[in-house]
Amino acid sequence: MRQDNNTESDEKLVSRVGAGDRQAFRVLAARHGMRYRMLAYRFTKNMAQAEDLAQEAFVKLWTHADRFDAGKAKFTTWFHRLVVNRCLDEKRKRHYEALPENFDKADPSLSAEAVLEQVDDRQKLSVAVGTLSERQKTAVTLSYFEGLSNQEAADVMDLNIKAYESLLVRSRAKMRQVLMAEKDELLAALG
Amino acid sequence: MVDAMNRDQFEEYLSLYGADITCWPLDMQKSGHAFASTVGGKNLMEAEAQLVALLEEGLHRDAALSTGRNADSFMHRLQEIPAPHPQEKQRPPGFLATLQGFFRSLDIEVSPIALVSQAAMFVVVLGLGVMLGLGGQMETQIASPPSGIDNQVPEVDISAEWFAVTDANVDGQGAIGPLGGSQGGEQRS
Repeated sequence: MRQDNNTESDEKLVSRVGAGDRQAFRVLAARHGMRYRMLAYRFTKNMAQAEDLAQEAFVKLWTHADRFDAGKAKFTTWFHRLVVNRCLDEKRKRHYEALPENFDKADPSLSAEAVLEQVDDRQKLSVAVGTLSERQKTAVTLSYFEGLSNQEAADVMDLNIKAYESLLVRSRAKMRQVLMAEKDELLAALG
Repeated sequence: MVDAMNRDQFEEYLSLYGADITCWPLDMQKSGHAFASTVGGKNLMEAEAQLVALLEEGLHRDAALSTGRNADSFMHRLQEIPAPHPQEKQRPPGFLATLQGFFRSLDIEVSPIALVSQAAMFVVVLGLGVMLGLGGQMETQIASPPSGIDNQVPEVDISAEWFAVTDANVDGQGAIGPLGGSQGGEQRS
């Protein structure tokens, strides 16, 4: 992968991209490509689809760069919104949820001990996040996996900060409840 | 005396500030510690610790995933995007957008629908005003024609000749001229 030695800000680079500067686009793509591929993966749980969605977003960055207004938002906030919206659109189009890659469903016929071994951390998290609404999932992804500040995440979701924090509190409370319920079930299964 | 904290409040602070109660607002720490020592509080603290561990573990797993799996070919595809995709230039903003931008610069949020309806009302009121004004002026002119002009210029009835021709055709005796003279007799002789 190429190293990004360019110290120019994202916002300046986007304005150069708007003027047709291919080199500025390449710098931006090298700087943020992997991050947004991962963001799309968190929504789709499918790397090939995530790459396609991230690529579409970068195509839009190249073709519509002049729509970015540096006075209104940071580049990353704008682009997060672009990728998240594209991912959510794609999810809405699909009526069914594809199972995540390498997903192994727990066999109900297994003993409680075996279930305990099989239900690893990844599945626990996946189950907990799976109970959230789409908006709650987006909030959790932006805050806990993307590392955005609450204000940045609120901007991406077009919410005011209070509404966003409230959404996050509810999401976290719901995930905790799922984990507690899961623990209770396992304890009950073990007798 | 510190008010006792209920479960909902405890969950809210747990989500906002984390499981370390010493990081909570000072006035809530005592009641927070009190609730955390109950069975319900302990369960919530345990679940919170597990959730934090799971989220961190998920973050590390994602970081490992992000560098593998065709990362180079993906980056190469991104670098090649400009060649086959022409850039689209944004059209200059229309009149309404410009007007909206002007109001926005004054910190006044106006929707395009509001602008259009206000403009329509303005045109209607202006039109009514102009029509009423013109109507009043015409009535004034009819009621009192300007003095001096009326006496010097004779009124001309441009339809008088038409009626004269019609009369001639009806009685068969020739047309009567516009000033009343008979032209039919002269034509016959």
